[in-house]
Amino acid sequence: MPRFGRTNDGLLGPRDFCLREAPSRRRTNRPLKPGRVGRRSVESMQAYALWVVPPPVCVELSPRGTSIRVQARAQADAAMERYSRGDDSAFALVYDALAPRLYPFLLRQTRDRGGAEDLLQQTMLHIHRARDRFIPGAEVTPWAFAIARRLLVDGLRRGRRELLTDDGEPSAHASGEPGAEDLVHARELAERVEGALAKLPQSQRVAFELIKQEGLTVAEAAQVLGTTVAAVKLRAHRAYEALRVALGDVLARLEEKES
Amino acid sequence: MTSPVPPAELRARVLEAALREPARSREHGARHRALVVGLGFMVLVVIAVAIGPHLGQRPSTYIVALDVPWMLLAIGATWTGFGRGRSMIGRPALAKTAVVALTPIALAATGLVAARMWPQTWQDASGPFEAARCMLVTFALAAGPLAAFAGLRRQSDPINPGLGGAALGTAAGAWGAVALVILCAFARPSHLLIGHVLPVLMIAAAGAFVGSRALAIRARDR
Repeated sequence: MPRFGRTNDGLLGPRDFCLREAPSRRRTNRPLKPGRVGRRSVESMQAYALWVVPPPVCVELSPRGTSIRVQARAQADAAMERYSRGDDSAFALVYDALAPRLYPFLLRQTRDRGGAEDLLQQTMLHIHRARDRFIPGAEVTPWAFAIARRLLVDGLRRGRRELLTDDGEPSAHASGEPGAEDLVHARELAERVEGALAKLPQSQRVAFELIKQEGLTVAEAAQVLGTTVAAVKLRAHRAYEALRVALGDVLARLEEKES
Repeated sequence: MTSPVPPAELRARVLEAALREPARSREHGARHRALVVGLGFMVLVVIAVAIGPHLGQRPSTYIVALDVPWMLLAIGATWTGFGRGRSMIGRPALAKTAVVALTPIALAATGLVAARMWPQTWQDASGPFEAARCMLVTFALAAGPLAAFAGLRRQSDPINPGLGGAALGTAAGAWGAVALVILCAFARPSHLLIGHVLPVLMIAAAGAFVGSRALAIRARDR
């Protein structure tokens, strides 16, 4: 069972995280303690770093076996479809489905709450204005990310990037009562991953975040970034490699503890 | 379980801003699009009627054999360049690049094949003046469709608006070339290439310029 908690790395403020088995481990049917990685490998390191370190949306399987993230996307598509047909009340549903995913993405890119909020508002209003052009059956999530990213890039080009002002709130525990040790590990990993990601070239970081943290497919990330699937795979792979190198000692420590 | 979460007041602000700025529903949007495209092509037709048809000495079969494939190419360029397929982001860059690169090549190839099949068309007396005139007429004919396409695609390309605009320009230029076949009595291959096909490339360049401004999504100042 996944365990949930909340951490505060100071940069992005309090964030939820979940401790659960790494997907690669689940495939092998070998038991794994929540928040532990059994052996050093890119797969397990990624899995640990990305599933323990706060993902914007913790992918948990529902009783029916459907990913919550997939459900959220389907809800966003259905709400946008209703909104484009003229149901004005559906815009709130579109907002509720998209904003919680766009905001962390924008916050990570801008490191500025005000900037992220402004870009989120502009993205949502752009979606609102373009509702008559929404194609029936089209996916709204990659489109929203593409708009958000374009607005971000345009804003950066205009030199509007502002320095981060850390106004993080004090950390608070959420439900699930993760252990203190888990919290410490999660926080440490969060800081390390954030640091490693910050050092990556923007193209690699964004590709990595779109795929691993925002849950877009490689093809969708390629669409959002306006490049090929192969290029996105390469960028994401380079990001994994950089993370693996940056988190090598953390991983070794975890292995040590487990053994 | 999502974090960090956007502030609640932002939600209220966005919903209120959306209420203040009503947007068309898809049904109304479809009517609007049909109207704009209709107006754009009406400009093309009005210009064509004003100039009047000039069939010259060209066999009618030659005109049909040239114009029908060109019309099919224009339809294909419009479908690929203006349409977005099943994605709100639009067609891939490769498809748009193919439209920009291949449409003029296909127009030229079809024109040369038609000229080869009717060798008598090589003997007309067209020169640089006629080629320049046809260029200008193609620009005028394509202006309406290009304005309509760009207007309907305004602020809709978050990825590569310049390339999207070039594809729209190519489609509009192809429609201009289609109409020009009926308006221009000259059929020499060199005239076709310089006066009819080259402007399509130039309109694509103009479309890239227009698209990079009109199609792009811009951040507003805070």
